[in-house]
Amino acid sequence: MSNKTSLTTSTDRTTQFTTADLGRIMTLTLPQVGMDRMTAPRVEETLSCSALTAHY
Amino acid sequence: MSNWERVTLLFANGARPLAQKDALSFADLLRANRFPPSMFQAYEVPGDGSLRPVPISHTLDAIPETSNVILQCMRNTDADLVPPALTTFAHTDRPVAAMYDLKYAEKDSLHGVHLVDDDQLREMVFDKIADFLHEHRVEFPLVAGISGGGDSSSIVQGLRRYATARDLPANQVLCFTVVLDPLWRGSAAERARELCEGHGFGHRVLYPEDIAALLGMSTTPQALWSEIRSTYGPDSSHFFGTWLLNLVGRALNKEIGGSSLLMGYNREDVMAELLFCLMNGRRPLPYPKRRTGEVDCFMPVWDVPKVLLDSCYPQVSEVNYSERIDSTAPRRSSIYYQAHALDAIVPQMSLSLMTGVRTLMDSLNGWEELEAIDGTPLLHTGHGSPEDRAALVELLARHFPDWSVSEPDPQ
Repeated sequence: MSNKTSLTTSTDRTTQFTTADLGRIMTLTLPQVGMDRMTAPRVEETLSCSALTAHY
Repeated sequence: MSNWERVTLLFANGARPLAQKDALSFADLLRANRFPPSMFQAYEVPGDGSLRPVPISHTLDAIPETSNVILQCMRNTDADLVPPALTTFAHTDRPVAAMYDLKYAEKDSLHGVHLVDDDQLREMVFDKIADFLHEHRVEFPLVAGISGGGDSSSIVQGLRRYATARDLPANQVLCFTVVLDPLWRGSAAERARELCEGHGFGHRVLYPEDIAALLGMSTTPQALWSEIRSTYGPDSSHFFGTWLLNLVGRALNKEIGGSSLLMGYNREDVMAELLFCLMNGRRPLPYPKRRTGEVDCFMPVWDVPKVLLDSCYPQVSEVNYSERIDSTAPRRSSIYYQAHALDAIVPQMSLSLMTGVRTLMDSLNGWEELEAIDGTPLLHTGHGSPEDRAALVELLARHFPDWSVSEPDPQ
Protein backbone atom coordinates (compact mmCIF):
# COMPACT_ATOMS: atom_id res chain seq x y z
CA MET A 1 0.00 0.00 0.00
CA SER A 2 1.56 3.23 -1.08
CA ASN A 3 1.70 6.08 1.39
CA LYS A 4 2.56 9.45 -0.05
CA THR A 5 3.90 10.82 3.19
CA SER A 6 5.86 7.67 4.01
CA LEU A 7 9.64 7.58 4.15
CA THR A 8 9.55 4.39 2.10
CA THR A 9 8.19 3.91 -1.36
CA SER A 10 6.35 0.89 -2.63
CA THR A 11 7.80 -1.13 -5.42
CA ASP A 12 6.33 -3.57 -7.87
CA ARG A 13 9.56 -5.57 -7.96
CA THR A 14 8.45 -7.96 -5.21
CA THR A 15 8.06 -10.80 -7.73
CA GLN A 16 11.83 -10.74 -8.28
CA PHE A 17 12.45 -12.14 -4.81
CA THR A 18 12.12 -15.84 -4.06
CA THR A 19 11.66 -17.22 -0.56
CA ALA A 20 15.30 -18.22 -0.67
CA ASP A 21 16.23 -14.62 -1.51
CA LEU A 22 14.23 -13.32 1.42
CA GLY A 23 15.71 -15.91 3.74
CA ARG A 24 19.13 -14.75 2.74
CA ILE A 25 18.17 -11.12 3.36
CA MET A 26 17.04 -12.05 6.86
CA THR A 27 20.54 -13.04 7.96
CA LEU A 28 22.79 -10.85 5.82
CA THR A 29 25.92 -9.49 7.49
CA LEU A 30 27.60 -6.19 6.73
CA PRO A 31 30.64 -7.83 5.07
CA GLN A 32 28.22 -9.69 2.80
CA VAL A 33 26.82 -6.35 1.63
CA GLY A 34 30.22 -4.90 0.82
CA MET A 35 31.76 -4.01 4.17
CA ASP A 36 34.45 -6.62 3.66
CA ARG A 37 36.84 -3.89 2.60
CA MET A 38 37.29 -0.14 2.97
CA THR A 39 38.61 0.37 -0.51
CA ALA A 40 40.73 -1.65 -2.90
CA PRO A 41 42.47 -4.06 -0.53
CA ARG A 42 45.88 -3.35 -2.03
CA VAL A 43 45.40 0.31 -1.11
CA GLU A 44 44.09 -0.15 2.39
CA GLU A 45 46.47 -2.88 3.43
CA THR A 46 49.54 -0.86 2.63
CA LEU A 47 48.54 2.78 2.66
CA SER A 48 46.11 3.02 5.51
CA CYS A 49 47.27 0.36 7.89
CA SER A 50 48.16 3.07 10.36
CA ALA A 51 44.39 3.56 10.53
CA LEU A 52 42.40 1.14 8.37
CA THR A 53 39.29 3.28 8.21
CA ALA A 54 41.37 6.34 7.33
CA HIS A 55 41.08 8.84 10.16
CA TYR A 56 43.61 11.16 8.48
CA MET B 1 3.37 24.24 18.06
CA SER B 2 6.68 22.80 16.86
CA ASN B 3 7.83 23.52 13.34
CA TRP B 4 10.42 21.02 12.19
CA GLU B 5 11.02 23.01 9.05
CA ARG B 6 13.27 25.17 11.20
CA VAL B 7 15.68 22.24 11.43
CA THR B 8 18.01 21.28 8.58
CA LEU B 9 20.33 18.29 8.36
CA LEU B 10 23.60 19.46 6.85
CA PHE B 11 26.14 17.12 5.27
CA ALA B 12 29.43 17.63 3.45
CA ASN B 13 27.59 17.00 0.19
CA GLY B 14 24.21 18.60 0.74
CA ALA B 15 21.32 19.47 3.02
CA ARG B 16 18.14 17.65 3.91
CA PRO B 17 15.06 18.46 6.00
CA LEU B 18 13.93 16.24 8.85
CA ALA B 19 11.23 13.70 8.07
CA GLN B 20 7.75 15.07 8.60
CA LYS B 21 5.80 13.79 11.59
CA ASP B 22 3.26 11.93 9.45
CA ALA B 23 6.04 10.04 7.73
CA LEU B 24 7.41 8.56 10.94
CA SER B 25 6.96 4.82 11.32
CA PHE B 26 6.45 2.88 14.53
CA ALA B 27 10.15 1.93 14.33
CA ASP B 28 11.15 5.59 14.03
CA LEU B 29 8.99 6.51 17.02
CA LEU B 30 10.38 3.68 19.12
CA ARG B 31 13.92 4.91 18.40
CA ALA B 32 12.80 8.40 19.39
CA ASN B 33 11.63 6.93 22.69
CA ARG B 34 15.02 5.25 23.18
CA PHE B 35 13.81 1.78 22.35
CA PRO B 36 15.28 -0.54 19.73
CA PRO B 37 12.58 -1.41 17.15
CA SER B 38 13.75 -5.02 16.90
CA MET B 39 12.51 -5.61 20.44
CA PHE B 40 8.87 -4.88 19.55
CA GLN B 41 5.96 -6.32 17.59
CA ALA B 42 3.32 -3.91 16.34
CA TYR B 43 -0.39 -4.85 16.42
CA GLU B 44 -3.43 -3.20 15.02
CA VAL B 45 -6.25 -3.28 17.56
CA PRO B 46 -9.59 -3.01 15.73
CA GLY B 47 -11.54 -3.09 18.96
CA ASP B 48 -13.35 -6.36 18.30
CA GLY B 49 -11.09 -8.35 20.62
CA SER B 50 -8.64 -9.28 17.88
CA LEU B 51 -5.04 -8.32 17.38
CA ARG B 52 -3.54 -8.09 13.90
CA PRO B 53 0.27 -8.01 13.67
CA VAL B 54 1.55 -5.27 11.38
CA PRO B 55 5.08 -4.40 10.25
CA ILE B 56 7.07 -2.15 12.53
CA SER B 57 7.86 -0.10 9.42
CA HIS B 58 4.23 1.04 9.11
CA THR B 59 3.13 4.58 9.76
CA LEU B 60 -0.18 5.47 11.36
CA ASP B 61 -1.57 6.22 7.91
CA ALA B 62 -1.45 2.47 7.23
CA ILE B 63 -3.76 1.80 10.18
CA PRO B 64 -7.54 2.37 9.85
CA GLU B 65 -8.61 5.41 11.84
CA THR B 66 -11.02 3.32 13.85
CA SER B 67 -8.20 1.09 15.15
CA ASN B 68 -5.58 1.63 17.81
CA VAL B 69 -2.02 0.31 17.88
CA ILE B 70 -0.12 -1.71 20.46
CA LEU B 71 3.67 -1.89 20.36
CA GLN B 72 4.35 -5.05 22.32
CA CYS B 73 7.75 -5.54 23.88
CA MET B 74 8.72 -9.13 23.12
CA ARG B 75 11.20 -9.47 25.98
CA ASN B 76 10.56 -9.47 29.70
CA THR B 77 12.13 -6.04 29.72
CA ASP B 78 11.52 -4.06 32.86
CA ALA B 79 10.07 -0.81 31.52
CA ASP B 80 11.33 1.04 34.60
CA LEU B 81 14.89 0.48 33.37
CA VAL B 82 14.19 2.96 30.57
CA PRO B 83 12.37 5.88 32.15
CA PRO B 84 10.34 8.06 29.79
CA ALA B 85 12.12 11.21 30.88
CA LEU B 86 15.69 12.06 31.76
CA THR B 87 16.81 14.37 34.53
CA THR B 88 18.57 17.39 33.14
CA PHE B 89 21.57 18.80 34.96
CA ALA B 90 22.30 22.26 33.60
CA HIS B 91 25.89 22.99 34.63
CA THR B 92 25.91 26.26 32.72
CA ASP B 93 23.47 28.81 31.37
CA ARG B 94 25.05 28.66 27.89
CA PRO B 95 25.34 24.95 27.12
CA VAL B 96 26.83 23.73 23.86
CA ALA B 97 26.71 20.00 24.39
CA ALA B 98 24.94 17.21 26.22
CA MET B 99 26.53 14.25 28.01
CA TYR B 100 24.26 11.31 28.69
CA ASP B 101 24.61 9.40 31.93
CA LEU B 102 22.23 6.49 31.58
CA LYS B 103 22.05 3.48 33.88
CA TYR B 104 21.13 -0.08 32.98
CA ALA B 105 21.97 -2.25 35.92
CA GLU B 106 19.44 -1.30 38.58
CA LYS B 107 15.90 -0.04 38.87
CA ASP B 108 15.09 3.44 40.11
CA SER B 109 18.47 4.77 39.02
CA LEU B 110 18.84 8.41 38.11
CA HIS B 111 19.20 8.82 34.34
CA GLY B 112 20.72 12.15 33.59
CA VAL B 113 21.72 14.38 30.76
CA HIS B 114 24.42 16.88 31.68
CA LEU B 115 24.46 20.15 29.80
CA VAL B 116 27.91 21.69 29.60
CA ASP B 117 29.60 24.61 27.87
CA ASP B 118 32.84 24.74 25.90
CA ASP B 119 34.86 26.02 28.87
CA GLN B 120 33.81 23.04 30.96
CA LEU B 121 34.43 20.62 28.11
CA ARG B 122 37.89 21.99 27.51
CA GLU B 123 38.75 21.51 31.18
CA MET B 124 37.54 17.92 31.11
CA VAL B 125 39.26 17.05 27.84
CA PHE B 126 42.56 18.73 28.63
CA ASP B 127 42.71 16.88 31.94
CA LYS B 128 41.88 13.63 30.18
CA ILE B 129 44.67 14.12 27.69
CA ALA B 130 47.18 14.99 30.39
CA ASP B 131 46.11 11.92 32.38
CA PHE B 132 46.46 9.72 29.30
CA LEU B 133 49.96 10.95 28.59
CA HIS B 134 50.88 10.42 32.21
CA GLU B 135 49.40 6.90 32.27
CA HIS B 136 51.35 5.93 29.15
CA ARG B 137 54.51 7.68 30.37
CA VAL B 138 54.86 9.44 27.05
CA GLU B 139 58.36 10.81 26.70
CA PHE B 140 59.67 13.95 25.06
CA PRO B 141 60.71 14.82 22.39
CA LEU B 142 57.54 13.99 20.54
CA VAL B 143 55.53 14.99 17.50
CA ALA B 144 51.84 15.83 17.35
CA GLY B 145 49.74 15.98 14.19
CA ILE B 146 47.48 19.03 14.35
CA SER B 147 44.75 19.43 11.73
CA GLY B 148 43.25 22.70 12.91
CA GLY B 149 39.96 21.01 13.76
CA GLY B 150 38.39 20.29 17.13
CA ASP B 151 39.91 16.83 17.47
CA SER B 152 43.52 17.92 17.52
CA SER B 153 43.10 21.41 18.99
CA SER B 154 42.62 19.95 22.43
CA ILE B 155 45.71 17.80 21.98
CA VAL B 156 47.84 20.93 22.13
CA GLN B 157 46.27 22.14 25.35
CA GLY B 158 46.31 18.76 27.04
CA LEU B 159 49.92 18.34 26.04
CA ARG B 160 50.76 21.68 27.57
CA ARG B 161 49.08 20.69 30.79
CA TYR B 162 51.09 17.45 30.84
CA ALA B 163 54.37 19.20 30.04
CA THR B 164 53.81 21.76 32.78
CA ALA B 165 52.86 19.17 35.39
CA ARG B 166 55.94 17.11 34.71
CA ASP B 167 58.22 20.06 34.05
CA LEU B 168 59.05 18.79 30.59
CA PRO B 169 60.55 21.25 28.07
CA ALA B 170 57.87 22.58 25.72
CA ASN B 171 60.44 23.14 23.00
CA GLN B 172 60.75 19.36 22.69
CA VAL B 173 57.22 19.17 21.31
CA LEU B 174 56.90 19.58 17.58
CA CYS B 175 53.38 20.06 16.23
CA PHE B 176 52.87 19.79 12.51
CA THR B 177 50.17 20.62 10.03
CA VAL B 178 50.18 19.55 6.42
CA VAL B 179 48.97 21.69 3.52
CA LEU B 180 48.13 19.75 0.39
CA ASP B 181 45.15 20.86 -1.64
CA PRO B 182 42.50 19.52 -1.82
CA LEU B 183 43.01 17.21 1.17
CA TRP B 184 44.29 19.84 3.55
CA ARG B 185 43.60 23.49 2.89
CA GLY B 186 45.93 26.31 3.85
CA SER B 187 43.33 27.96 6.08
CA ALA B 188 43.36 24.95 8.40
CA ALA B 189 47.11 25.40 8.84
CA GLU B 190 46.61 29.00 9.89
CA ARG B 191 44.07 27.94 12.50
CA ALA B 192 46.49 25.27 13.73
CA ARG B 193 49.27 27.82 13.98
CA GLU B 194 47.05 30.14 16.02
CA LEU B 195 46.10 27.29 18.35
CA CYS B 196 49.73 26.27 18.91
CA GLU B 197 51.01 29.81 19.42
CA GLY B 198 51.85 30.92 22.91
CA HIS B 199 52.48 27.46 24.28
CA GLY B 200 56.17 27.29 23.55
CA PHE B 201 55.62 24.31 21.27
CA GLY B 202 57.25 24.13 17.90
CA HIS B 203 54.75 24.25 15.06
CA ARG B 204 55.70 23.45 11.53
CA VAL B 205 53.46 23.85 8.54
CA LEU B 206 54.52 21.54 5.75
CA TYR B 207 53.66 22.65 2.27
CA PRO B 208 54.05 20.23 -0.64
CA GLU B 209 57.71 21.13 -1.20
CA ASP B 210 58.43 20.63 2.51
CA ILE B 211 56.79 17.21 2.47
CA ALA B 212 58.84 16.24 -0.55
CA ALA B 213 62.09 17.34 1.10
CA LEU B 214 61.28 15.67 4.42
CA LEU B 215 60.38 12.34 2.85
CA GLY B 216 63.15 12.36 0.25
CA MET B 217 60.79 12.45 -2.72
CA SER B 218 62.13 12.80 -6.24
CA THR B 219 58.76 14.11 -7.37
CA THR B 220 56.02 16.03 -5.56
CA PRO B 221 53.17 14.94 -3.27
CA GLN B 222 50.76 16.21 -5.91
CA ALA B 223 52.36 14.03 -8.58
CA LEU B 224 52.23 11.05 -6.26
CA TRP B 225 48.61 11.72 -5.40
CA SER B 226 47.77 12.18 -9.07
CA GLU B 227 49.24 8.78 -9.93
CA ILE B 228 47.53 7.05 -7.01
CA ARG B 229 44.24 8.68 -7.90
CA SER B 230 44.42 7.65 -11.54
CA THR B 231 45.43 4.09 -10.62
CA TYR B 232 43.16 3.47 -7.64
CA GLY B 233 40.40 6.07 -7.97
CA PRO B 234 39.52 9.32 -6.14
CA ASP B 235 38.23 7.52 -3.05
CA SER B 236 41.76 6.48 -2.25
CA SER B 237 42.34 10.08 -1.15
CA HIS B 238 41.31 9.29 2.40
CA PHE B 239 43.71 6.41 2.65
CA PHE B 240 46.51 8.26 0.92
CA GLY B 241 46.01 11.13 3.38
CA THR B 242 46.16 8.86 6.41
CA TRP B 243 49.29 7.22 5.11
CA LEU B 244 51.03 10.47 4.30
CA LEU B 245 50.37 11.94 7.75
CA ASN B 246 51.82 8.87 9.39
CA LEU B 247 54.91 9.01 7.20
CA VAL B 248 55.40 12.72 7.89
CA GLY B 249 54.92 12.24 11.64
CA ARG B 250 57.46 9.46 11.72
CA ALA B 251 59.99 11.40 9.65
CA LEU B 252 59.67 14.43 11.92
CA ASN B 253 60.25 12.22 14.92
CA LYS B 254 63.44 10.96 13.33
CA GLU B 255 64.53 14.58 12.84
CA ILE B 256 64.05 15.55 16.47
CA GLY B 257 65.17 12.26 17.98
CA GLY B 258 61.74 11.32 19.23
CA SER B 259 59.71 8.14 19.06
CA SER B 260 56.17 9.23 19.95
CA LEU B 261 53.47 10.55 17.63
CA LEU B 262 50.22 11.93 18.96
CA MET B 263 47.12 11.67 16.77
CA GLY B 264 43.66 13.05 17.48
CA TYR B 265 41.72 9.84 16.75
CA ASN B 266 38.46 10.07 18.69
CA ARG B 267 36.07 7.46 20.08
CA GLU B 268 34.15 6.84 16.88
CA ASP B 269 37.35 6.80 14.78
CA VAL B 270 38.71 3.97 16.87
CA MET B 271 35.35 2.21 17.04
CA ALA B 272 34.91 2.40 13.27
CA GLU B 273 38.19 0.61 12.72
CA LEU B 274 37.44 -1.95 15.40
CA LEU B 275 34.02 -2.60 13.85
CA PHE B 276 35.55 -3.15 10.43
CA CYS B 277 38.08 -5.61 11.84
CA LEU B 278 35.67 -7.56 14.02
CA MET B 279 32.89 -7.90 11.48
CA ASN B 280 35.44 -9.31 9.06
CA GLY B 281 36.90 -11.75 11.55
CA ARG B 282 40.21 -9.90 11.68
CA ARG B 283 42.42 -9.15 14.60
CA PRO B 284 42.00 -5.52 15.57
CA LEU B 285 44.84 -3.04 15.22
CA PRO B 286 46.07 -1.92 18.65
CA TYR B 287 44.67 1.10 20.42
CA PRO B 288 45.14 3.53 22.03
CA LYS B 289 48.83 2.95 21.41
CA ARG B 290 49.98 1.56 18.08
CA ARG B 291 53.50 0.95 16.90
CA THR B 292 54.13 2.06 13.31
CA GLY B 293 57.72 1.38 12.36
CA GLU B 294 59.99 3.08 14.83
CA VAL B 295 57.36 5.28 16.37
CA ASP B 296 54.56 4.74 18.90
CA CYS B 297 51.33 6.40 17.81
CA PHE B 298 49.28 7.54 20.77
CA MET B 299 45.58 8.39 20.67
CA PRO B 300 44.97 10.57 23.73
CA VAL B 301 41.29 11.24 22.91
CA TRP B 302 40.49 7.69 21.81
CA ASP B 303 37.63 7.48 24.30
CA VAL B 304 36.13 10.93 23.78
CA PRO B 305 33.09 11.26 21.49
CA LYS B 306 33.81 13.44 18.48
CA VAL B 307 30.89 15.77 19.21
CA LEU B 308 32.32 16.63 22.62
CA LEU B 309 35.79 17.23 21.18
CA ASP B 310 34.39 19.50 18.52
CA SER B 311 32.31 21.33 21.13
CA CYS B 312 35.51 22.33 22.87
CA TYR B 313 36.09 24.75 20.00
CA PRO B 314 32.68 25.29 18.42
CA GLN B 315 33.68 27.97 15.89
CA VAL B 316 36.83 26.17 14.76
CA SER B 317 34.91 22.96 14.22
CA GLU B 318 32.17 24.62 12.16
CA VAL B 319 34.72 26.16 9.81
CA ASN B 320 36.52 22.84 9.48
CA TYR B 321 33.31 21.11 8.34
CA SER B 322 32.72 23.71 5.66
CA GLU B 323 36.14 22.93 4.21
CA ARG B 324 35.70 19.18 3.96
CA ILE B 325 36.24 17.70 0.54
CA ASP B 326 33.21 16.24 -1.17
CA SER B 327 34.70 12.89 -2.02
CA THR B 328 33.61 10.29 0.48
CA ALA B 329 34.79 6.73 -0.03
CA PRO B 330 31.38 5.09 0.46
CA ARG B 331 32.55 2.29 2.69
CA ARG B 332 34.54 4.65 4.84
CA SER B 333 31.51 6.90 5.08
CA SER B 334 29.42 3.92 6.01
CA ILE B 335 31.67 2.49 8.72
CA TYR B 336 31.63 5.80 10.58
CA TYR B 337 27.86 5.94 10.34
CA GLN B 338 27.76 2.41 11.77
CA ALA B 339 30.16 3.32 14.58
CA HIS B 340 28.08 6.32 15.59
CA ALA B 341 24.91 4.22 15.31
CA LEU B 342 26.20 1.91 18.04
CA ASP B 343 25.75 4.68 20.58
CA ALA B 344 22.42 5.96 19.28
CA ILE B 345 20.28 4.43 22.00
CA VAL B 346 22.86 3.24 24.54
CA PRO B 347 25.51 6.00 24.56
CA GLN B 348 28.12 3.92 26.39
CA MET B 349 27.98 1.00 23.95
CA SER B 350 31.01 1.68 21.73
CA LEU B 351 33.37 2.55 24.55
CA SER B 352 32.24 -0.49 26.52
CA LEU B 353 33.01 -2.73 23.56
CA MET B 354 36.35 -1.06 22.93
CA THR B 355 37.53 -1.38 26.51
CA GLY B 356 36.41 -4.99 26.67
CA VAL B 357 38.11 -5.90 23.41
CA ARG B 358 41.26 -4.11 24.49
CA THR B 359 41.42 -6.13 27.70
CA LEU B 360 40.74 -9.32 25.79
CA MET B 361 43.32 -8.66 23.10
CA ASP B 362 45.94 -7.74 25.71
CA SER B 363 45.30 -10.95 27.58
CA LEU B 364 45.29 -13.14 24.45
CA ASN B 365 48.13 -11.30 22.72
CA GLY B 366 45.53 -11.04 19.99
CA TRP B 367 46.28 -7.70 18.36
CA GLU B 368 47.05 -7.50 14.67
CA GLU B 369 50.72 -6.98 13.97
CA LEU B 370 51.88 -4.71 11.20
CA GLU B 371 54.67 -6.10 9.06
CA ALA B 372 57.37 -3.91 7.59
CA ILE B 373 58.15 -4.01 3.87
CA ASP B 374 61.93 -4.17 3.76
CA GLY B 375 63.76 -1.19 2.37
CA THR B 376 60.75 1.08 2.80
CA PRO B 377 58.89 2.74 5.65
CA LEU B 378 55.79 0.88 4.53
CA LEU B 379 53.79 -1.44 6.72
CA HIS B 380 51.06 -3.89 5.85
CA THR B 381 48.60 -6.08 7.67
CA GLY B 382 49.14 -9.11 5.49
CA HIS B 383 45.56 -9.33 4.34
CA GLY B 384 46.15 -8.12 0.80
CA SER B 385 47.65 -10.18 -1.99
CA PRO B 386 51.45 -10.07 -2.41
CA GLU B 387 51.09 -9.23 -6.11
CA ASP B 388 48.82 -6.25 -5.47
CA ARG B 389 51.09 -5.09 -2.70
CA ALA B 390 54.15 -5.34 -4.95
CA ALA B 391 52.42 -3.26 -7.63
CA LEU B 392 51.59 -0.52 -5.13
CA VAL B 393 55.10 -0.57 -3.65
CA GLU B 394 56.55 -0.29 -7.14
CA LEU B 395 54.35 2.75 -7.83
CA LEU B 396 55.37 4.42 -4.59
CA ALA B 397 59.04 3.59 -5.01
CA ARG B 398 59.17 5.61 -8.23
CA HIS B 399 58.58 8.69 -6.08
CA PHE B 400 60.95 7.73 -3.25
CA PRO B 401 64.36 6.98 -4.78
CA ASP B 402 65.97 6.33 -1.38
CA TRP B 403 63.87 3.22 -0.84
CA SER B 404 65.77 0.04 -1.59
CA VAL B 405 63.00 -1.91 -3.22
CA SER B 406 64.09 -4.96 -5.17
CA GLU B 407 63.46 -4.84 -8.91
CA PRO B 408 60.37 -6.77 -10.06
CA ASP B 409 61.01 -10.12 -11.65
CA PRO B 410 61.45 -9.46 -15.43
CA GLN B 411 59.50 -12.67 -16.06
